[in-house]
Amino acid sequence: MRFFKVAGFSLFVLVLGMASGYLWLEHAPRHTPRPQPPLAELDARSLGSLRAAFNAHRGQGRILVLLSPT
Amino acid sequence: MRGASALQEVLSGVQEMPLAVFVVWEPVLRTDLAPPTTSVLGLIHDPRALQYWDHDRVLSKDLVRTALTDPKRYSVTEDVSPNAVIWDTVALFPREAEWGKDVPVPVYYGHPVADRVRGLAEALRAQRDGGQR
Repeated sequence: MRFFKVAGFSLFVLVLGMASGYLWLEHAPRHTPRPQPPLAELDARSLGSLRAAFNAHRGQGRILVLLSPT
Repeated sequence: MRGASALQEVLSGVQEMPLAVFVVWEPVLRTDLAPPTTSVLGLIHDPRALQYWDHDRVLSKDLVRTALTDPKRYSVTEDVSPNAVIWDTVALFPREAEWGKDVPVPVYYGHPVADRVRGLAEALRAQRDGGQR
């Protein structure tokens, strides 16, 4: 009986921890360092804006980097 | 993460160089459940950087499409699947290049980023000193 109580409590703590982690990840602040502009969303419609920004810096070196956040 | 820190180190070494750095974060790993947090975005703190979140990996898809259209132009030597995901990759472009329908041919590119920053730094120095347009 005690085993089931401990197991149940452990499961509760685990689920609570996972839920908290997920909520934190969902609502965590996402600010870029100053003076960079805010984080921009990229999708099929806004890909053109990345292209435009790239071309707007013509005459300078331009680096494009693709990364995973974790 | 290692790639972001390594890139920032390179950028710190060429602070005087006119440069635009487009940082595109995309979900690739199982743990990539959400856009990068402030601490992750802070890994690249160079003022010349612009940061993006690409949830649907549209840039990667566009780069794959471009590479498959003309592999020789981009010196693609390995087989690229139409479903491939381009990530942990860095590219430096010529100063006068324009991104039209397809992304221009880079003067330098490679992956993983952490292993390619030395080459990137050399390519940047060459560009700064006028060796490459």
